[in-house]
Amino acid sequence: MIVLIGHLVLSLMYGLNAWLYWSYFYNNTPRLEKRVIFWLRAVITAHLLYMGLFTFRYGRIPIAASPEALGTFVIILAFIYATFEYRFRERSIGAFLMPLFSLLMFISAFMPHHPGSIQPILFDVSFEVHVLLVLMGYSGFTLSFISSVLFLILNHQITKRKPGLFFRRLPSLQFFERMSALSINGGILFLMLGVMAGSYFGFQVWSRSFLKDPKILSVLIAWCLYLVHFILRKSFTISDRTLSVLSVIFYLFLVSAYILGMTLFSSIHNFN
Amino acid sequence: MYFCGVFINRPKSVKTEWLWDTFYSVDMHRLVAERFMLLTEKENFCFFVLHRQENREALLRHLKEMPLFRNVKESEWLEHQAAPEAFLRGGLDISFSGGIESRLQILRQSLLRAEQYKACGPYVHNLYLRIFWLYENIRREFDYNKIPANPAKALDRLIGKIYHPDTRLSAALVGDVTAMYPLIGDVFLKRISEVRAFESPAFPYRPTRAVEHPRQLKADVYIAGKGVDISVVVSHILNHAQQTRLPVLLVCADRAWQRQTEHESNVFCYTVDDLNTIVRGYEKERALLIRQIRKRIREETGRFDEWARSNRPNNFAGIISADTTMYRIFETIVRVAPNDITVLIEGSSGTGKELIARAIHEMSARRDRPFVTVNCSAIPDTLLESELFGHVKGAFTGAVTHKNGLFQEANHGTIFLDEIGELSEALQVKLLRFLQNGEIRPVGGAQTQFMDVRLITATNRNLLKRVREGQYRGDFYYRINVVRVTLPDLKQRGQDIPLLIHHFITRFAAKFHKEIHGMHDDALEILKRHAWPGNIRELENVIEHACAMCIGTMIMPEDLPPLEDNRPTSGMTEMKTLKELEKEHLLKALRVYDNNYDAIARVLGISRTTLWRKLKELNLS
Repeated sequence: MIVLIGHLVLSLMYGLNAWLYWSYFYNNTPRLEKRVIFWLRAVITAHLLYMGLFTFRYGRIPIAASPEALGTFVIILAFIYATFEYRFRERSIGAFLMPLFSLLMFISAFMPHHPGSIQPILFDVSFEVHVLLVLMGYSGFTLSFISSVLFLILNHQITKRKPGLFFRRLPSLQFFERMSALSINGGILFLMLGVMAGSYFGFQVWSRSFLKDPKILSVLIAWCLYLVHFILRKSFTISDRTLSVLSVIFYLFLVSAYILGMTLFSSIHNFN
Repeated sequence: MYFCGVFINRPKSVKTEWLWDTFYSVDMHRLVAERFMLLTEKENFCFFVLHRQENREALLRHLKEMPLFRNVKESEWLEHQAAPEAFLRGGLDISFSGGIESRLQILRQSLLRAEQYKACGPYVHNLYLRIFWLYENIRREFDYNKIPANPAKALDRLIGKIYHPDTRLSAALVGDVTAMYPLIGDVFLKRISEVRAFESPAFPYRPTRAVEHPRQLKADVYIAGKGVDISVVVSHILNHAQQTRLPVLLVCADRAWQRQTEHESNVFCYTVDDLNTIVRGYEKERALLIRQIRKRIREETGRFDEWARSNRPNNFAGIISADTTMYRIFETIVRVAPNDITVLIEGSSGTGKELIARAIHEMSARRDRPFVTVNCSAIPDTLLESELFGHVKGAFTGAVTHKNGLFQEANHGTIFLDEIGELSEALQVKLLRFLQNGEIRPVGGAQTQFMDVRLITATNRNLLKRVREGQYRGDFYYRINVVRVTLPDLKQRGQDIPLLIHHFITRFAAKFHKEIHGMHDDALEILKRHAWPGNIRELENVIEHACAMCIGTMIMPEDLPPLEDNRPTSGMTEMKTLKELEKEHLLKALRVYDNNYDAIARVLGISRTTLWRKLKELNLS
């Protein structure tokens, strides 16, 4: 019940924040800017309080089940985004992240979940480190995906010489390219560390058999794809537009492979 | 006072000088107290301050005879509150395609011209100051620079949408781009670091490197004009675009270029028409901003109206003046006040430095926060550090409790350090740390505290001279001297003396419960002749004395305290001989010009030989 209520309230708060961010994106007034700053801080604080309450109640951080991991993924990404927003004073991306947060919190609220009956093995520190690192890696790729999509939208408006709302509100193409590159670098690093921590944990639990798991394989392929992206960016003169297209494709692969792995194939990598 | 104004069409092919002359040279002082003409792109705004409302009909009849106003209908006139509002709106016209800054420059030129004709007074100046104050506030609050007003600004915006602000860009000029200079001037001065040119005439904004072949044209931004083979140049641009990661921007004179680059994804090709589309694309934002600014202008008009009704036209934030030098200082105040800039106020003792500091505080966003005044010379050096920064318990003998300093008290507000020239070197270093990092450390404390305090300093000494003589820290002086306001002595503000006298009489009459209406002309003459070494403070004390002594409703000469008259006396017995005067004058010149004979001879209008002979004659060599 605590998860259902907590996630629903947070989903509502992120939803309200999404509405404010869109109002600000559309109207761009200082008053709305102050409101989005306040509400972003408020919702992050509320989310952290919820996590603290959960940890206090169950004696572990909320990452041992899919809905918990989704909630933690949201707070990690929200925190990274808030830091980024504070550092660069750029608030347009929030309009695209907040609806995603709200949606993820809403979905996670209705996922079947029994926080009191978790496998004892999932209390292991190496498991917690593994999940947190992987979630940070996914956060990097998500930010890169959003940046790349916005790059392509802005690029389209500049090419067509039609200065629409996105042209007026978004920062430069180069800004998105840099943000995407930085997020991918971080994503590759954290996902690699996460996989390493996960391997240590996996060998203890399942010996070598876990390496054939479809979900793990899909994550490894996605990581390799992003590594290719990194190498292409560093070694070859490929246009920023092409790199953004690749980034979007790789993220879509990551998400679809994850969903397919969870639904069509049986996986041992499922918190059970 | 009654205000009215009208917009008149700007006659075509008429020189600005003729407009000024026609407007200001006609004598209408009998009807009008002040008048002002703001020249804008298409029309001129003429503003009048009438002595009384009844003068309006006479003024309109008078103006009908002037060619400028011949076609103005009576219904077009803006009356009373609408006129100042139109004045403010005219000065802060965001819809002006030249940009708000250009309009402000025009406003300034218009004011200077009105001052030359002695046509404007406190009301026009007050509106002018309000425009600049509003501008500074609007500039801070609304990011109106993001709304392009013309194709040049749209190009700047477009570049900002492609490249990050910290990217150093290179540009290439192709063909004759002379017609595009107004478009690219600003951008080239701001963002472009290197310019190459191919078959282009001399470029006035940046040094260029001429290249002989289009393949050498490797740049981020291309400006393409006429007189080149488009297909050859485009093929090289496309080739270059394929070898770069950053997109390439091509700004061209016609659509022929666009057709050739249509299918290249890494090249953005824009014509002037496309840039105009960008300008039009911001209509919604512009309309919203105009609405917000107009709301501010209406509020400000209300405040102006209130001020005008108070019938104290020469009172600016508690400072009494109608002097042009002081108006320039007021302009500095309204411009620096909303921005958190450190201000150094220089001026002799009693010139009103604290009033200036208080005015800056009152006009800033910190007006609701504390304003703390510290006289650095009044507190012994040993105590000053503890007074400013506070101390912790046990920091020194007698420090029995923790105590906050004046900086903590002024947090989020303003601290005014008077007599900053008297500060010891150790304290200069500590204040320097605050100015650099915003941090202070209480006496005896181990931790630094961050303070959000605006610093305003004042001195009656020549700090620069002291820095040169090594008696004052140069780094500290340059830190506090970000904006310097130098106040003139009262003697230099001759026309302010009667205004100040009137102001002080009103104040002290109320204090002493007397009905004093003014000052007798003889008494006024005595006060006007005085040198006022103690400046306004001395004048204030003299008037207080006179008000206390006054019997009746007028201050008479005998009510004044004894004053040292600085004018030469008329008695022949006290007159100096020519030789004595010559000697005195030469001694003064030697002192002022530090024995530089060339400079002295030049200033006195005599040859060097004559100077040498005179010095010898007077035993001054």
